[in-house]
Amino acid sequence: MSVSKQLCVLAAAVTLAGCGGGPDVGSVSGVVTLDGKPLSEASILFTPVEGGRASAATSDAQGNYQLQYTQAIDGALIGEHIVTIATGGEYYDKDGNEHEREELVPDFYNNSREYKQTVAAGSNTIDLKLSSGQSSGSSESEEANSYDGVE
Amino acid sequence: MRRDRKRGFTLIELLVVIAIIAILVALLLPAVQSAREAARRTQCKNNLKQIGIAIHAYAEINKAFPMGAMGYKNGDIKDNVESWGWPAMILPQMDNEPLFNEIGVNSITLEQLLSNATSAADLDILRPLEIYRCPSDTTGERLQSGMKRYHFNGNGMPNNGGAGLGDNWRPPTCNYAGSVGYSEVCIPNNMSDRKNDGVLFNMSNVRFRDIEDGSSNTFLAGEREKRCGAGSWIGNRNPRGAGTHGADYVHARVFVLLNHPSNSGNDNCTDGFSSKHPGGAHFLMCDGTVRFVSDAIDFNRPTGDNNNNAINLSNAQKQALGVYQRLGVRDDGQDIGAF
Repeated sequence: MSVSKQLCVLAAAVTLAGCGGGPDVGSVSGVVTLDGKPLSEASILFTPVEGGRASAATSDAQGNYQLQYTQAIDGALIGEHIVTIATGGEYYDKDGNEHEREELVPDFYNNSREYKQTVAAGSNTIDLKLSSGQSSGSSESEEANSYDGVE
Repeated sequence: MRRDRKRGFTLIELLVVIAIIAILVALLLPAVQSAREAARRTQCKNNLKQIGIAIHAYAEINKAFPMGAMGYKNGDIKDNVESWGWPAMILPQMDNEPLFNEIGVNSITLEQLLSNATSAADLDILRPLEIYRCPSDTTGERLQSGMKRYHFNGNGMPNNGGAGLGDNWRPPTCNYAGSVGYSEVCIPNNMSDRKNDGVLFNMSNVRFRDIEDGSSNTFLAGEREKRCGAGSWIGNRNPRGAGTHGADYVHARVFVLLNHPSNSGNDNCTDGFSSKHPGGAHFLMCDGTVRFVSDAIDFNRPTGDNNNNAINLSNAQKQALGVYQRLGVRDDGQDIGAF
C-alpha cells in the first residue's frame, strides 16, 4: 500500500512539473480611433515601462486590434506601458510589393513616449482614442486625453 | 507450493516496474521528438559560426568588416541600384573564390550583371548556397512568390523585363541578415543625412575600433525566416528606387521586435530578425561567437516613428535603449549586463 501511495505522489509530481512558467501577461484588445474615426492598418506597440519584451498589433479596417506578446501568446506584460502608434513608413500589399504610407498619427502618440496605458491581469479592453489636436511634450493634456481628448 | 510463490512477483511489483518504465519513456520521448529540430538548430548555428570566421578572415585582409551592401553606380554612392551584399563579398573567405570571380563581385555591379542577362540561364551562376540557409527555415533554395519580397524586378532590370524575366526570376535564399543597428535598413541618397549605427550597412566601412561597445556586445548578423521574409545572399534590390523596392535582403535592424508577431503593416518583422527556432534566434556577435538570444529580451526604443527621416540618437535616447537595441548599436556607450 505504501509503495503504491509513494508511486501516486511521484506520478503527480512528474505530471505537475511540466506545468507552470510562461510570461505574466494579460490579454489586451480594443479599438484605435483618430478623432473618433477608426484607424486602420496602424501598428501599435506596447513597451513595458519596467522593462521586458514589448507587445505588438496591427489594427484591421475597423480599427480593431489585439496585442500579441509572441506569435503563440496573446497579450502584454502586466503593468504600465508606453504606447506608440504609427501608420507611416513602408508596408507590403498582398502581392508582396512595398509601398510608402502617410503618417496620420500626431507625433505625441508615436514619438513622445508620454502616452501610457496600464495592462492588468486577465482580459483588458483598452480603446485608444487619439486626437489630432494632441501636441507633443505637454503632459497636462495627457490627462485630458483619457477623457476623450476632443475639446 | 511455497517455493513457487516466492519465485513469482506480486502485482504491486509489476506495477512499480511498469511505472518506472513509463516515467523513463516519458522523459525520453520529448527529447526524441525535438532531436531533429535540435540538429537543424545546431547546423544553423554552425553556418553562422562559419560566416563569422569568414568575416574575421576578411577583416584581417582588409582591416575592416565588409560593406553591408556595395551600392554605387558610375563611381557615385547610390542606394537606388541593385547592389552586391556582404554575403557575396565574403565568398573567397567562405572557400568559394571561383564563384566570387565568376559572378564578378569585384569587377561589375549586381545591377550590371542583372541587366546584362538576356535569358534566365545567364543568371544560373547566382545559384543557391547551402551555407547561407538555415535548415529550420522553409523558404527553399530560392525566394518564393507570395513572400513579402521575392523578385528583383526593380528599375535596375530593364533588359530582364525585355528578356521575359522580371517577376519570374527568383533570387537564391539567405537566412542571415547583417545588423545595420537601430536606424533604417537603407541610408538615404544623401549620406550626410544619417549614419547607421550597426556594422553591416550600405557602403559601411566599420573597423574593430569603431565597435566602441566591445565586439562581444555587438551584433554582426542574425537570422530571418520565411514568415518575415528571408533575404538573398546576392545583395539588395534597388532599395530606394521608384515603385516596388527593398533594402532588407541583406540587412536587418533592432528597431523591430525580435520574432515580431505581425508581418503586415509597417514596422513589421520584414525589417527585423526572426527564426523558426522556438523562443528566440541565433546572433553572430562581432567577436565571432554565436549566441542564442531569447525573444523575451528587454526591448525599448526611444523613438516611435518609422525612422524614415530619423536623425542620430541623442545621448538621452541612447540611455533609453532596451538591451536588445543596445546589442544592435555599436557605439551607444550603455552597459548591457547579462542577457
